[in-house]
Amino acid sequence: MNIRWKFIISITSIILLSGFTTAFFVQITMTKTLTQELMERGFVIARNLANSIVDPLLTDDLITLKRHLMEAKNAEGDIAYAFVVDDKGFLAMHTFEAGFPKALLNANIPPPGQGGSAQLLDTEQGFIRDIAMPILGGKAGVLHLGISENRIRSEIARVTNIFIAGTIAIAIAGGILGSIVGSLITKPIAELVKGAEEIGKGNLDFEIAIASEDEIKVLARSFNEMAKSLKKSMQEIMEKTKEAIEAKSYIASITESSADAIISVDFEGKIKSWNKGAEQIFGYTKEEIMERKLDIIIPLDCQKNIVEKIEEAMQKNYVRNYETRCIRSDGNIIPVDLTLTTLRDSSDRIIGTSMIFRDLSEKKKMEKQLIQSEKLVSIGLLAAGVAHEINNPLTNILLDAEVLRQRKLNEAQVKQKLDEIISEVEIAARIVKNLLNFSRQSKLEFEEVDLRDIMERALSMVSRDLENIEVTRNYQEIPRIWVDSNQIQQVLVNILLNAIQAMPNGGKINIDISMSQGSEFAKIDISDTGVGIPEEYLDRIFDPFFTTKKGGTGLGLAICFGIVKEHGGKIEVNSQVGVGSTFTVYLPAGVRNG
Amino acid sequence: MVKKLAIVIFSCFIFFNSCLTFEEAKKVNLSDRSNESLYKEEEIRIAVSSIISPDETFIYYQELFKYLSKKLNKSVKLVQRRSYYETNELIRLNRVEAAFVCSGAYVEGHDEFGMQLLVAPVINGKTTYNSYIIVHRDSDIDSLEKLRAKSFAFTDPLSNTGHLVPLYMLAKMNETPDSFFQRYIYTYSHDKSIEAVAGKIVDGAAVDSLIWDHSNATDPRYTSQTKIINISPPFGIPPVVVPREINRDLKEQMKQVFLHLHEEENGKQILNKIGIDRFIEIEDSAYDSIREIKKWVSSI
Repeated sequence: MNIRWKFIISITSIILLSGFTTAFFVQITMTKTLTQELMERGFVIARNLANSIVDPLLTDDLITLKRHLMEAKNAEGDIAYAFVVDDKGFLAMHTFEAGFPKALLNANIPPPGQGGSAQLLDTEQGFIRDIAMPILGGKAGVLHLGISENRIRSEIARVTNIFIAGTIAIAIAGGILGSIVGSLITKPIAELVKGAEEIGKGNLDFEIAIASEDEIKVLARSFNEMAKSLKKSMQEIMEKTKEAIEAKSYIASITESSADAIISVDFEGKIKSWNKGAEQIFGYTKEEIMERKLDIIIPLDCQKNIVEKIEEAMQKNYVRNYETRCIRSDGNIIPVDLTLTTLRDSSDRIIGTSMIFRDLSEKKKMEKQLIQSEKLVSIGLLAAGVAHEINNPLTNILLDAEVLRQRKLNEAQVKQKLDEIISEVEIAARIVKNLLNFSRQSKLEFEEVDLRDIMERALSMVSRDLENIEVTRNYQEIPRIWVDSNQIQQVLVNILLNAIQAMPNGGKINIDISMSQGSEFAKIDISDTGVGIPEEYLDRIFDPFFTTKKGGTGLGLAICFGIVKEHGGKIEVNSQVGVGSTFTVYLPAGVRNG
Repeated sequence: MVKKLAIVIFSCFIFFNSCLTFEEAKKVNLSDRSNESLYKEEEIRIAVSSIISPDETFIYYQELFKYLSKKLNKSVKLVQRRSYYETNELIRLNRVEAAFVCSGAYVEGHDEFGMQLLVAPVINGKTTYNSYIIVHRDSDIDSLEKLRAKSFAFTDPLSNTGHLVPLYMLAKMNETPDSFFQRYIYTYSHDKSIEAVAGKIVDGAAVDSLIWDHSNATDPRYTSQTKIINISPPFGIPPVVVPREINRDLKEQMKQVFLHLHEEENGKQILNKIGIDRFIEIEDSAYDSIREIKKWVSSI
């Protein structure tokens, strides 16, 4: 039901209700008042009549008695009848023309006393109030006066009807008024509804026009303002969306143009994005790989580590430069540098991980070549020493051979000389083997070794350059470790050479081998008392081709850094100009089964 | 909402309707009419002449009549008429079985149509009464003579004390009411005459001594406003009479009831209340004095 009808019904109902209530009370009051008045009048008439008929009644003056009764009856239009019952209860006189109604005789018997009584009678002639008035206190009889209530009843009915008619008229007027008021209210509401519908359709330019100055107007104003701000918000959203789209395509173009593989995976490890770089590095097209598991590009032995790294990234938000290996679509395994970043939605919930893979194949190849060339450089540097080393046994062999040629020796002496020769040859052979081992370009060959042996081998390789240098060894008992001994040996040789070169006029080298705190790493400290490294260079000394020495390649320490890193370790340097430098190499402790 | 409103309005209508007929009306059928005789004739009718006004009479004699009814074992109706004449007519036509009449009326009735004496009351030990001439207490009139050219109230033309006696007094002065009084009225009962004097409607009145004394003793409202300026000689007391054609047995029965009334406690109380000692038989000669003055007056 609409408001207009509610108005009409409410107003009409209220008017009808109040009208009928008033009519009801007016009727009650009128009935009460008029009845009371009529009754009082009746009592007065009856009392007077009762007094005036005492004599005629007692003297059997029936004519006078009848005359009194008739006079009373005719004087008042309301009096329907009068009759007298004598002291014996017999009817003495009545005013009925066609005989006395027997039922009346005992219809109203007054109680003993002077007062008289009234009884409402429902007759064919309407309601009649019978007033019984005792004559001489009832001793001489009772006068009955019948007062018709028809007149007052019709009067009451007339007034009530006027009231009800008036009420209905006012109710109709109220209904019309309600309709008008309802229209006044509903018209602006209809405007509001129309406005709401327009806005609902998306027509935000629609403005609701309300003429009246009331709450509806305020509402309409708010509505219009709402529409305006909605429009503004919509525009802002559109702009933001546009910006977002632009930003997204910008990022996408950056991503696409990147040579690195930039991919993202969801919680279940399903690949959700795949750029051009990824296609090139892994050999899968975007269409092939989307929604497939990340496992497809991770070798079996790395999967566990990758999962760990993803979990770590979730805790720390990112993991940078983790070196691992991946499988291309052609089955080749490639080294990669992986950076993981946790992806979150707008409510900061983790929704997956973005992974940037950098193909390290070329870098590795180059590093290997660099290592090899550095080795050659080292060999060059070592050649003189090697020649000297070999020369000694050769000289000894030569001398022994000269002695044998003279044949002046007995058999025992010959045997001794031959033993000496064999020993010297073995020494030379070992030197050559070492050199060969060092120079050979090889893949990482991990083995279980004692770090102290490697250290000694490295020292022996540079022993010629240690003439003016006092070497102090401080080796602790540490467990064997799992490394490529040749590579590590090269690292140590490079560091030793660096130390030697820092002390052209001699000095001290102190070597400590121990376990790091927590026993995660085997630790080698190599300290010199050389010139030291200026502070501004400290950050850069492991960079390739950075050198401060004349004739240096700038690769030595860079290669060391690469090798140690490949082993999962690290190199640190502490230095003070004029005091010396300390290089510390950390290598993972324990023996691995990989 | 509309449903609720409808329910409220409907309830109100029901409520109004139920409230509007708040007075119980007794259903009475007026169409069943009867034209039967209005009067049930009583077995015994006893008339009381209007010595005092009918309502006073009615109250005065009610208990006595009830007692008579019980004693006679018959219903008894007290019959009253406005004047002595009318009462005498009832006796003459034998329409009543007995009557309390004024002494004057008795003399008239007895002499005219054979009205018979039944009994007579003894009041204050006497069977006689007097006529009092009364004036207002504040009046300076102290004799009948001084009532000349004044207004006067007689009771009934047939009354002895209220009419005959004052006429006799006037006649002795060679006066008639017309010549003596400025104006005069008939009140048709003694209490009304007393009231007329007390109310200064008339200057003087002649009343029954029995009535005045009784009123003065029981309800001196009016008598106290009056004073007696003349007391007549005694006359035979107003008797109880019967018609000439009365049934003898009934007459005897009634006589016995009256004569023995004072012997019973109840009867004695009733008699005490109306100031009667007892009833006795009385001789017609007791009323001769009245005949005398009547004769004298009518001879004028």
